[in-house]
Amino acid sequence: MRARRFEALARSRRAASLALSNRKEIATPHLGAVNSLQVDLTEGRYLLSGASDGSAAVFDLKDATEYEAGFIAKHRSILLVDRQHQHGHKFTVSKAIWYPVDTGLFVTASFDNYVKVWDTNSTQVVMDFKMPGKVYSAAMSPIATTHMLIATGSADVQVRLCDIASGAFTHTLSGHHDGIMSLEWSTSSEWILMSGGCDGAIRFWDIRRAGCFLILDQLRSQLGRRPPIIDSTTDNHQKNLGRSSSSKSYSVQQRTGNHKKQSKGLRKSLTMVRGHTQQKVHPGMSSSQNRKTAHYGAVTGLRTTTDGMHLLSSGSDSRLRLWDIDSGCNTLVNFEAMRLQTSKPLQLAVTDDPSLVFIPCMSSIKAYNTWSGTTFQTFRGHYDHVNCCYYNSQDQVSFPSIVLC
Amino acid sequence: MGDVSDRIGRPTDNGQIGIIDPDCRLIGLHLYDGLFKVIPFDNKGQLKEAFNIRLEELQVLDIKFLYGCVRPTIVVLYQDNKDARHVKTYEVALKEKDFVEGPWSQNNLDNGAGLLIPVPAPLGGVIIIGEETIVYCNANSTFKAIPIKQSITRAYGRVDPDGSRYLLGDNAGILHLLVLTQERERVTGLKIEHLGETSVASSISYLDNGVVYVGSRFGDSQLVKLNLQPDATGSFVEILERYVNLGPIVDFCVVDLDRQGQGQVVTCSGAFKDGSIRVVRNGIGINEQASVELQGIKGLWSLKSSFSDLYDMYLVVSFISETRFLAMNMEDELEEIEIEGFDAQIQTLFCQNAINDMLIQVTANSVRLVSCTSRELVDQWNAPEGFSVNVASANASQVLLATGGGHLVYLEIRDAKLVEVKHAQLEHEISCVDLNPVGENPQYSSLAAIGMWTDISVSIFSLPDLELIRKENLGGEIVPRSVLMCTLEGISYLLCALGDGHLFSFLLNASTGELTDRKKVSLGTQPISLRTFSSKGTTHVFASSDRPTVIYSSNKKLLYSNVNLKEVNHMCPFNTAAFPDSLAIAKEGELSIGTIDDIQKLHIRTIPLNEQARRICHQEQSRTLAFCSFKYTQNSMEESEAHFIRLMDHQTFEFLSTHPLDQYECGCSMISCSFSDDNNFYYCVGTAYVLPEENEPTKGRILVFAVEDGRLQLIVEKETKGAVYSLNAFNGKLLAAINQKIQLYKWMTREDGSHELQSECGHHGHILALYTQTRGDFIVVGDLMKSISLLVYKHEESAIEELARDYNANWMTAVEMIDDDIYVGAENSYNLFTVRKNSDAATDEERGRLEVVGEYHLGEFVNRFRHGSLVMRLPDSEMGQIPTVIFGTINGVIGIIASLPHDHYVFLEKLQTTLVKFIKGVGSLSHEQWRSFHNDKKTSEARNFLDGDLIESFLDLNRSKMEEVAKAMAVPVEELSKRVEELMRLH
Repeated sequence: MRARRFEALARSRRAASLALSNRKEIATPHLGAVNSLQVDLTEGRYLLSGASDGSAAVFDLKDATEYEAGFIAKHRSILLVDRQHQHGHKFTVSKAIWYPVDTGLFVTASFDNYVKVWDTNSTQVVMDFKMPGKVYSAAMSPIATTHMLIATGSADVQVRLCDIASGAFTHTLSGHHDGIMSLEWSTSSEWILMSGGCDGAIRFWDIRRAGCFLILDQLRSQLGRRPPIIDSTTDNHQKNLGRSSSSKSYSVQQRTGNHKKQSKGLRKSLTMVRGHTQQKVHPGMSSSQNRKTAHYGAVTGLRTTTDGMHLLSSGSDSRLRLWDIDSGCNTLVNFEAMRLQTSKPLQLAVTDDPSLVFIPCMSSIKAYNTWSGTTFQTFRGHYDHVNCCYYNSQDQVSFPSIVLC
Repeated sequence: MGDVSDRIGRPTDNGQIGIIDPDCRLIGLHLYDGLFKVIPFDNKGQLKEAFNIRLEELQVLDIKFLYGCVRPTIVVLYQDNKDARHVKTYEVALKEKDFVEGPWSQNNLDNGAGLLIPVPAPLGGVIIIGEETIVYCNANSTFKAIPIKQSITRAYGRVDPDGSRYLLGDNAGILHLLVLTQERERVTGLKIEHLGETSVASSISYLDNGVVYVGSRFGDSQLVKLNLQPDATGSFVEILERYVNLGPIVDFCVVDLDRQGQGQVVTCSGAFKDGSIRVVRNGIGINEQASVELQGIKGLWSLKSSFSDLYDMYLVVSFISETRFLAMNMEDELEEIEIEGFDAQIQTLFCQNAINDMLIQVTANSVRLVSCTSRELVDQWNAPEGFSVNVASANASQVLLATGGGHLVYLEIRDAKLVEVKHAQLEHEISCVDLNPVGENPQYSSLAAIGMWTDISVSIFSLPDLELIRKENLGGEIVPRSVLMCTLEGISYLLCALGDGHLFSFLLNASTGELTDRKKVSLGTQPISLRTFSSKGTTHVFASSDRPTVIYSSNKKLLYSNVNLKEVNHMCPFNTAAFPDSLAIAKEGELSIGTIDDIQKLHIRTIPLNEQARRICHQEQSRTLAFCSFKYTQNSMEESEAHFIRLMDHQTFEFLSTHPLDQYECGCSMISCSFSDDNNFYYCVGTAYVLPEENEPTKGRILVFAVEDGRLQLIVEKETKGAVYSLNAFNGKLLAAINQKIQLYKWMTREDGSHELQSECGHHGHILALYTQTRGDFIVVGDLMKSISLLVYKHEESAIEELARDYNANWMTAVEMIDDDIYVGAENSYNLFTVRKNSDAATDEERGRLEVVGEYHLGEFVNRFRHGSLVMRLPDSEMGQIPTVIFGTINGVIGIIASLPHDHYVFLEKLQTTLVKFIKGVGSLSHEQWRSFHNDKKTSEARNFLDGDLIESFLDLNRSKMEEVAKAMAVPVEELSKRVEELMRLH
């Protein structure tokens, strides 16, 4: 058997045999619900959590602080910033994320309208950004090499990009009609950001240009994406006709933009480039497109697959949708019935394959088969609502968060 | 040239696909799931910028271009989410950089469909090979199918350019012929015919005239001929030639089977029906056929009974004060005889058959010419008064000898008389002479080679006038002890061996006597004597010394291969009717006659098994090898696997005993060990019950066998809660890796004398502990996906604790401890890495971490590391102390990792960086990039590893390039060559 195939099989088997660990225990110092979890991207060793009591904590997952009964590894937090801390957040920490390049920095976003950047070693705030409303979400691009931007979504309608390098807001991305619950950077292009708003829209932004370039439409499906086999000239002709809903002149403009982008040496984002050409109309300019929605109600969670080809979104309509990023189509995978929390941002997780998607469903975590939408497994173990889950591919351990009663 | 890798994207699990449009419009690559990369050609044949097209099918099994399409069209065989298989076609629209829905598609094919064969125009269309059916479809919705016997087809080869016949090879090694019957360029049906059995084919190429090359990754590749008529067994296949392939090496052990102080590698090679045990030996072996004890041999020559005879008859053995003559008698026995004309009371310096059916004997005081027929003295030349002959050489018509004081005397045989033709006085004493003819005349040499004392030189003289043509100073203080002129593969060489085991080689111009291309190698440490011999019609040179070597020429290059003998003083070819192509070899206190192996570096012996061996182990005490193997048996419907433990003799490789394992039970590990308080040696075998419904085995056994009268005797069995992936002897106990646990077992003797394994302690905390190695109290564990960790056994507490681990996520395929502190691991992205124990680090945190010190991309999937070496170790040499580890890979590569001393490493690393500038890689790919550690997670430059193959290619450079390299290194060429040759001596 090929090594890759074996590895893939072994991984999926492990993912499939996921269960609540009774040998590992994370002793949480949080007094409120845990809203965010992330394991650092460099070593896969330190778990960062943010909780509704305004605290954030770091745990070492490799070395247990103590062993209980000989074999239950107990992990206590090795770092805690809470309200007692001189710079601590006053209200709920909605998101806590690692700086993607190393574990020297982490970022917390809070309902006290602040986004704070922390030095891990000194546990001091090195920078803070005051936002116009409660901050629901913050995200940093895991692949960025040319920028150090934190995308933040708040109760305000704009997505703001905070630059760690300068300490200022570099962009405000307007388009959403309501607050922004979830944000996700593209895993294939460092300039592409996806945002999900309380208005039910998922917008794609290229931060180098104004306006959003794609709004996902739940009614636009994957079927018949490829043009049928006809003689190529008429084919093209029809295609143009079919797309004639608005501004024909734009297709030219889009193409030039396309070239410029390639010349900038962005070979990694070829799939994204094609995304532009598919969507020949600039949605920011068209009011009909501007109203498209991905979910009825708020978009509460976003997650791209590791290969950057698909996007998963959850909404307050208790739906999980799988999108083809390239074409912006809804793949119409029908994820079996679920009930999701409606008022909070949710953190989803995907396996590397990406054959399984994990989603917090009230007091359990459900794992769905990504392609068929069937329920694969339900993980129970929490005593109250689950807000977030994280899948650590290196160790193959999923970390569901705990909401204390 | 460019890079087609994408930074993002999931590499395909089913392997990369690269195809070219039959009309050469584009190259198609399927490297990542969901993406099809297109590299268009422009009309001049240049490559244009590549782009990706999104492919909706995520699980692609095969993609091919269709023939005879106006626009490039691909056909995709894929599997959907419900595991059903379909084909679909797409046209590639180059301008739009997208696919257009293709002309046809076909849903719900055979569940085992895995191979597409595009059929050339005018037929067009595609053949889809399944496990139970073969289907042909094309754009005109022609659909033809035939059922076949269940088999997995792995390879196909097109016979006719119009695509009407194909050869198919399946994984049982059966070759089939598929015929498309046609009528007016339309396919009317399919026919399949059984041809015969070959190796399990990975690729099939039809050459011509019914000759087919079957390339195999699982067994030897073959050249086969397809006959028109079946043979007695009904097979149309005749095997013309086999090409040895060791891969896949699943396991191997290093043993010294011949007890010569030299390791041999015994591998579990091949897969399926081509499984075999292979014995790989380095160097040339001598198969001894007869030997006598004889002390103090000073020289050996063979003589024929007449000049035109094909075979040798007499063997002249010279001692310090006498000479004895041996001859083959009628019973093919060697007996002592007398040759009346020869002087037997004195040491012989040289003997030779000469023209006119004469024999020449050179002794210290005379040269004697003896008739072959009458064996009587015909003529004699006496050394001048007060002088004695020191060294001499002769050929069929000439004799050259040196007497003391630098006198050189040249004699010719004319009309059965010895005629002194020329006498010369040289300035120094003569240490060695040679007259071996290298010119056109095989009986007469126009050149003589002479080595001299004092100025340490070798000279070429012309004959018969004894004029100095060329003198080459050798440098140093060691006297040349043997010179030889010889012609190998049509090229003349002058070889000159020194008293310290070094050898100079020169290219010799046979007509002018010019010497060029001087090279120096070290063969041993003792004086060398050189002799030519011929084997299978080719001439080679034998260098006798403490490290006997055969010098041979391959592709017009001199190669040195060691002979598997400890020390040889003298050698002469002894080609008799009873022992053709034999050599007479004088060792310390012994004269032996033997035949020589084929002249090549590695010798591979194959023991076919017809089943696949998975683990092998040697037990010296019982002189046996044991191995775990399994066999697929396919009944009419059921496919089953049977596993065995088999025992065989380590010299004859005969099967001695078999122990069948239970149903679903398979052997996972095997060692030979003894336990404390018990002197017997046992084979311990770890097994697993692989039940089809289980993801991970939950049951296994440890079986302990003793070898009694050549039988495997089950002594103890112990059930375990999982697969026993690894076993190690550990402080007189048995250490087993069972699923995620490391478990230590004690060997207990019950009152009734029976034994049992009793668990003592264990350690949890691995995903799957697949590989363990031990040294003292330390245990190194290679985990399925969590790299290497180091455990220690604490005697007082009788507990195993983790000391340190490597926190990288490497998927291990093998581990070994190079020494106490450095461990080497191989992972499944074909990389090697080494980690070091940080025992002197200041903090606990650092001590708990295995520091990665070396990284290297090998490009091979390593299955096993073992300590050992394929070459004989000379205890007194510096290189003999270097620890080496042998590894075996899936592709059948056997390699060696040597841990070099630091200064040596620094020097060679500098040489490597210099060489990279001079030696271009294949396709000008960068060496640095290729050797960079690379896996899904990271890419980093190779460090603390050197590429031995690259460094050794220094010796293949021509002289001017070598000088350039030497200049860049600021080290003389000789020094560089010496260091590189030293390195070569390691393998």
